[in-house]
Amino acid sequence: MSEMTLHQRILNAAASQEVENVKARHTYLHGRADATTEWDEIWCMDENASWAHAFGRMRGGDQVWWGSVGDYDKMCFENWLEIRERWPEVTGKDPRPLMEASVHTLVTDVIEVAEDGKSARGSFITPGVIHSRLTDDGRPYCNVLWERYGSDFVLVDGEWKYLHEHVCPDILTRMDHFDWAHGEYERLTDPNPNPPPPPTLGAPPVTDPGPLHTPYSVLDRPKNTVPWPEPYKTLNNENSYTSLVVKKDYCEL
Amino acid sequence: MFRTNYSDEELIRRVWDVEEIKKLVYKRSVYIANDWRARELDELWVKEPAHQATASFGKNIGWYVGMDAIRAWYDKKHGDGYMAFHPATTGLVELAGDGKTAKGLFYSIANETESNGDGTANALWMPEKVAFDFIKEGGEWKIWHLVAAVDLVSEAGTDYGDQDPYPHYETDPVMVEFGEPTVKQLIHDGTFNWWDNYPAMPEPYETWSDDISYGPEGWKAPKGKHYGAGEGRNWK
Repeated sequence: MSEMTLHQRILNAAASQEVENVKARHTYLHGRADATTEWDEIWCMDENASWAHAFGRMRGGDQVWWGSVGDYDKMCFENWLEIRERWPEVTGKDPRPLMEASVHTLVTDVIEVAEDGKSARGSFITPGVIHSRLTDDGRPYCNVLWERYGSDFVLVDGEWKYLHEHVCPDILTRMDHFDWAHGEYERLTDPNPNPPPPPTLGAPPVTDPGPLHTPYSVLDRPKNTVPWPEPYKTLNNENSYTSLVVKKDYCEL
Repeated sequence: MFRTNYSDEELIRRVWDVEEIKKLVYKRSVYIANDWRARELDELWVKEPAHQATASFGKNIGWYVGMDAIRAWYDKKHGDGYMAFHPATTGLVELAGDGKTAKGLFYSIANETESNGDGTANALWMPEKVAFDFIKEGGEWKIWHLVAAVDLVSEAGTDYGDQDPYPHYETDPVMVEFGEPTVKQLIHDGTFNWWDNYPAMPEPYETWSDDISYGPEGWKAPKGKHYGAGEGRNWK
């Protein structure tokens, strides 16, 4: 049983709402592919920062910035160069949101704020839609992508910031058109199967190579890669979605 | 900034207000699912005359302004075979520093099904960003301004890739149903995904001013002189 004072409980209740807002800001910034604002404004980009996906884990602010901002922008700009020939009206517009609106909605939040009030942890299921209209083949698309998130947040200079994100893709298919389960069955039973579709765009350089999660398969069980957080006292390697490398005010080693 | 300069009493009131606001939005999703449009306007929207006069309900092609205009369009009951789900997710709520108003942004992977009257029905997907301004009346939070910016409309079971990439709002069933709003103006053009950034995320603020409204008084055109026109597409 927690021994937190009423004052600390009230602070932590407010912190839980602040963390929900940080997480939602991620969704809306990512929907515009505005990686610069996302990692500049809502992330703690110190040595402990990490961003992980099935392909592996980037560690430290510099590597995360290179992969999540630089590589992502590169894809957006390359896409813009391709589609401009077909869709001249993209001229003069920020190339990033023109790539696609990748909207990872947030439901089933389970958020725990540390008893010391310096960190918070959250797990989420995200039923997402990823859509774009002006594409190089002239056909609009809308994919659905269902994932889980394991996220750690820290209080730095009075503001709640992201520290760790672990994205676990489970289902990727096209809205209204394909059956992800039967499609996977047909792929696996094909005498010359194609590799499964990549669960994300690109694969930036990582410190911890993957796979760190495997998507849905007709031959496998679901993976509880990012279990919900339990109540905890302080951020440490027993209570974190990524092992910590440097002692900070918000954590213990 | 995480506000730790409030007293415990003030802070828990703010936490409570944000939870009340989220419940208001989630209840609206259920009102829609139950086809309780008149009840929604009566029970969830503003009641004070000054707020009713400036209330607004927007979609991609403009806003209805004033509760009378909103009611004239929105207050309709559908027949058998109608079902609409607009579940609100991804809540981002900013309560004003003075605690009198609040702004919220949500996303809904929405769908609506309507009978054609001959035993068939049409089912539509319509993912949308939904933004709200809220105001407190007599201790209760009410919806003051609402914008539902629909990203795409696609009939269930059909290949969305077969659609013309350009939205045709004059034939789009969601916009046809929206009718002729009071202020008729393109406010979110799905052609360019979220490039126009409307409605934008609410930012922390101290007190209300019309320039931050999700109603027509707060709309700002995105950069680019040709928004809503040819934008170079006719050059080729």
